[in-house]
Amino acid sequence: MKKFLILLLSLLLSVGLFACTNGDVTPGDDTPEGSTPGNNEVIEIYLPDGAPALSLVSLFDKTEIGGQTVKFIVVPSSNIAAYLMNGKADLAIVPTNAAAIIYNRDNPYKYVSANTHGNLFMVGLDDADSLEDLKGKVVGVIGQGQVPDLIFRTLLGDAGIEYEVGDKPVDGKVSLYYAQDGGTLLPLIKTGKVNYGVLGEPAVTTALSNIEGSKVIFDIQQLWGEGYPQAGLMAKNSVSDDFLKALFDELEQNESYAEQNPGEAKERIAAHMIESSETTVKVLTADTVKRCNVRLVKAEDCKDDVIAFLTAFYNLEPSSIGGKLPDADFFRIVK
Amino acid sequence: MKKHKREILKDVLVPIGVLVAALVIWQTSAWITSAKVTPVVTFSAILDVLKENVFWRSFGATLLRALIAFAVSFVLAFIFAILAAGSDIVSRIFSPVITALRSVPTMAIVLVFILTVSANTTTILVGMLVLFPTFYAALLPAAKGISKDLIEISLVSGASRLQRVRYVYLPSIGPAAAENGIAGLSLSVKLIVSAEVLAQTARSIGMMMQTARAYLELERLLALTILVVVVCIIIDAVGKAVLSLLF
Repeated sequence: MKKFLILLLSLLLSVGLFACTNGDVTPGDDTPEGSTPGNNEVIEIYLPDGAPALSLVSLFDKTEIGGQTVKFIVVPSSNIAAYLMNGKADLAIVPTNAAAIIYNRDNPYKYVSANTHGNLFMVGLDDADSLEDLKGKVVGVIGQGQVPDLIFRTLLGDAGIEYEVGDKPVDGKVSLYYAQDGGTLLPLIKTGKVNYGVLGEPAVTTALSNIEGSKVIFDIQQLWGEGYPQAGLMAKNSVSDDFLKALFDELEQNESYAEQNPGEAKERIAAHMIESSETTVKVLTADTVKRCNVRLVKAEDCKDDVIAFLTAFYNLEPSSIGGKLPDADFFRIVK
Repeated sequence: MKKHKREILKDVLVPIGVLVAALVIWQTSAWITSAKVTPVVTFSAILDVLKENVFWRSFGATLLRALIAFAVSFVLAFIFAILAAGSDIVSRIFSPVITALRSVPTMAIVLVFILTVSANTTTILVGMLVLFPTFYAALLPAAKGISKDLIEISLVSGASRLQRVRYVYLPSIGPAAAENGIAGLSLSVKLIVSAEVLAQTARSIGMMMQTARAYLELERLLALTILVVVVCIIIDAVGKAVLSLLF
């Protein structure tokens, strides 16, 4: 009986503890915005493997920018957001919709620039003149729920074309067949299991060189308009404006580095992979780099495009941007 | 009677106590690390998920795939175990095949399957790839343990194949089969969910988890995980209850 009472009291105490729970605890970054975390500390800049890594690859050989020690780390693209959620990254290139999610979840980061403006292409063996020609066909898409999927479904929706998930063609609709990544989608295109595939560079270059008869059917960026702010740079609030200005200056001075030195760029990405893991960037040519649409557009200049981009995603799936459009403070204007 | 009541209390209170302790530890660590995913937030996410039609459709589809993978693997393992028990040569032929099936990396085999069959079938085949050798390894010793005299008597007395299966093999292998079956069913659910992510199977708990991960909805991811665990616990408990009635 005594033991039973002790157990019951423990239960009631626990219930009491739960009632006092406050779930809205912001991760600790008490440093005010714009103050650099000590000159001795290293500023860690994380980038996802693949095309987004090209946006800062020109600076990979630098150990110091604006008087601050810097370290560039390339990680598997599926893990990039984790480095912001756990506060490890001082800066990071992330998909723009992920940036909105991170901001909306009260993490101490803001969007400072858009750095890649679309690298998606539709590849296939058969011709197609417009999205209408995709009806009754199976289109492979990488990453269900991720940017390529969201962009493609938005384009289909805007064109009034119905779609459904499946691996069999359906009359009057586009069948969407999801693959985990480019490496999984390429054999599906090659064997004809899917008629077309929506891929990002540099996987497109790999497809064109390995799949006989394959060609680029659509430039997704042109279908959208003139590209879109696919990925951008997020900076922790504690990183100073001076550092960001110095970073932007360096980027602007070396804008054409990757296009002029694709081989070296590929080696740099491989050398900066976390824990010496393997990069997915196997083939990189000047044309590939060009198709990656890498260029720096600061927050003040890309605000409208970013909001339009996020609004399109919000209309398709609100949770893809964190449930709501970010407010004006999402953007950090570097003065 | 007093002892019986004490046993019942132990069976009920100890698991509750363990659960409460786990929740307290979780909540305490959340406070210390300022984490946002607390027991309360997760519980709220569980309630939200349970209200969604897409969850129930996906849950039903995942469970169906797990059941198919389990059932086919189990029946095949039962048949192969009986055959291997009856013949040393057959057993020796199966042995390297079973080892190979156990060793094949799942990721590689998913890519092969996806090229030939649908994502749905791929998921089931991946589940079977793990379950079949597991069941076979568990059932073979039980099949080998059947009394040879009993088999001989059944043959001499003119029992048909079906009668031998029903009255000789099943009662002998039954307990081992049932015990492994219960463990196998919850294992099947876990395998199918993982395979659904690899194969990007539509209408699946695996893809719901993948999407939650992509959208950084950690509380939703945890909610889905907890629901899968709860289902496996229920399967386990129901299975054990049925077992205790049968044997």
